[in-house]
Amino acid sequence: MVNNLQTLTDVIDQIADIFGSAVRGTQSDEREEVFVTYTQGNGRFSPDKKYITLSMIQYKLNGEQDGHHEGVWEAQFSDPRVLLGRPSNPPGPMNVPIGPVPRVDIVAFTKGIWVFGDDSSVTAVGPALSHLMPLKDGSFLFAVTCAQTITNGTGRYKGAQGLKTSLGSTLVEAGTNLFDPTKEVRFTARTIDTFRIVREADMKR
Amino acid sequence: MANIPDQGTIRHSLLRLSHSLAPDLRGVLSDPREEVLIRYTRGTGSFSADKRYITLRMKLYKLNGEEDGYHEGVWERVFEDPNQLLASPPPPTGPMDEPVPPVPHVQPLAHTKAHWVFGDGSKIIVAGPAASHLVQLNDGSFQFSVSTAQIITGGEGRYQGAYGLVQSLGSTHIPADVNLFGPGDVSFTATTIDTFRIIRARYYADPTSPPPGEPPKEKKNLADFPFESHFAEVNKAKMHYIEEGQGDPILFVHGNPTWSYLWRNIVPHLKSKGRCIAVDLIGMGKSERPEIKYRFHGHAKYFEGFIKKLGLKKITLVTHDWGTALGFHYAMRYESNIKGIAFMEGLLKPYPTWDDFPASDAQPQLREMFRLFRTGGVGGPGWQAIVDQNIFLEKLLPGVAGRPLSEQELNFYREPFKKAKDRQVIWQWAQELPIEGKPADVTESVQNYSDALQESLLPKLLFYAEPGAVLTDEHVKWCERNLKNLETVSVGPGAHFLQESSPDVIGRRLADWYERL
Repeated sequence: MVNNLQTLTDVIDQIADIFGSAVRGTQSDEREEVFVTYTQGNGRFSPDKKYITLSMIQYKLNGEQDGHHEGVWEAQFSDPRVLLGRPSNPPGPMNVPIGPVPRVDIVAFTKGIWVFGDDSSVTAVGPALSHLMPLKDGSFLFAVTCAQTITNGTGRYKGAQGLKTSLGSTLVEAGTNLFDPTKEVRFTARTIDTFRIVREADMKR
Repeated sequence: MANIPDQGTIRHSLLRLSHSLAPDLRGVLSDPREEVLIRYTRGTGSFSADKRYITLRMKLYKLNGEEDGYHEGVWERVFEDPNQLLASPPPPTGPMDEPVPPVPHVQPLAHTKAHWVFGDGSKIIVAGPAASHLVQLNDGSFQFSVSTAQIITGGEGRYQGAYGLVQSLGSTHIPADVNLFGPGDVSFTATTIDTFRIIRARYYADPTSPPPGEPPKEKKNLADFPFESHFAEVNKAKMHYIEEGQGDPILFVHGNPTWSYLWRNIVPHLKSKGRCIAVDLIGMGKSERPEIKYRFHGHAKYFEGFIKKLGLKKITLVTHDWGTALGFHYAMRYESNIKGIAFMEGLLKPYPTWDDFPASDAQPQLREMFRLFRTGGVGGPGWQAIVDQNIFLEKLLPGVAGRPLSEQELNFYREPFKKAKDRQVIWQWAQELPIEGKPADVTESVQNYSDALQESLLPKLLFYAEPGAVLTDEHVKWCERNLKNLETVSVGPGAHFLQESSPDVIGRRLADWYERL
């Protein structure tokens, strides 16, 4: 009885661990590691409003804490009002490999590090789009999406390669000027991060 | 026997499993109006003959495997030599935790357009840049991946007029004998994971459009206090409280010089989430005025007696001003009975000197005012100002409410303290502030809960205003550095009574946080 119950909880925990951040059915090959995490924490603007840094706690999709994330966003615009706009719908068919494909202006560049619970880490860089969405009560949702390339890693990800994405947001309350040039502005933020990683041992040397 | 997993352990394991299999995405929302979706797709991709474009034709699935429509899109490369895809950018330099350069300018290798058509026919249309990468695997095959950053350009169905951003991370495995970028038609299987942050049209305020023509909603009267009174006998005195809703208790604790009226516009946001109880501290509001000294530990005795009398378990505390001190004092000694603590404009630690009160970056007038309040004891200048002249209700409260209070609202606040003798409790609170080690017993208790608070893993939610009154930027930074499991929410401009200046923000964010406890 003791062994059966212990085995049961062990097995349940193992299954939970396997599915903690993994998304089933999304690997192209068994050597590819695919997982999703989310982060919660705080963001801080530089006084010149050109840089944001994030200091975040990272979680698996099942809510278990799994390390932390820090990163820097660098604005490529001078007037924040550009963040209110968006391009028109792209023309042409979506299911035929032909153009045109619109060039959407990159409004920021990013770098970030994701350190997991076992201290392994992934570092990535890449361009980002950012969008400021006014809400009817006078508040705004500020969101950032990044297309990032992994540059290096440590621990189990030492020498790993791959891509990742990050999609974050923060609510800017009515009356708060996120881009106020006269003072430091801080905010709470959340991101969802998706990783496709090939570890060094599975790569051709 | 010691190794037999108890029911709690098994339940915990099953809970972890259920969360893993059906992840709860509420923790990723910045606001309840934001919609976050994660989907994955599987299908086929094909190149154009010139290898310049790829199109994807994919089936769309929810995370539980249920089919949910389809996804199509086009990728256009902006690189010349496919060997560029094999390179990774150099590791970035400089700190990651400071908002400073350098940030490498890694240019996208492709641009994309796409749409997702969900099971109900609703559609999201996007465009945006993409990173692309090729990794050679140990058997000579390749893994080709694409990561996109996309902006929603339009939508249909439930996403008509929606705004937001999307990320998509896809890959395909290319066998060793296939040249993806070689001549001839190449098709491949592919899979993507796609995440959406969406604001639907009903929440979006188009900055370029005139206000919608719908008739204005009736404005609620912020002064109303439409709650039934309840009383609990604690230490032979009646304590007043209001109660709304059912479930685990959400206990609202006011400070000086207020009463449960303070929470009138916040409780409605929470009443569908739990059993909301807003108590009047002993000697305040509609609670009785027993002959006690109204010192901090006296209040704590009645407050804890109230919790015991009502049999409150798994409490979520929502606290303000001295209510924060009472809440922390209780929570750090009965942590197992607490689910979480929300706090604002409160007492986090003793003030070593007068220069630290309420913070070194606070307005000096507040410091000087409280020096006066603590001068001369009973009958002295502080007593005269608070008890005789009623300065807390007549000047201080309206001065730091963060908005003009109506006469009706002020009368609600004044009502319990109309008689001078009923204002002794207000004066005593001012004497209890732990400044320069005095009073020693309060200083010790506040230091004790402050130390414990820094070790506690209880969920914490801090609301702060700019500039705030007693909880300033300095304290917010201290909280962010020292408190674990903390979320912070700026409510925008405000002073001390954030419940008056930002009730809906507090209510909404509190409800969101509470749902995730």
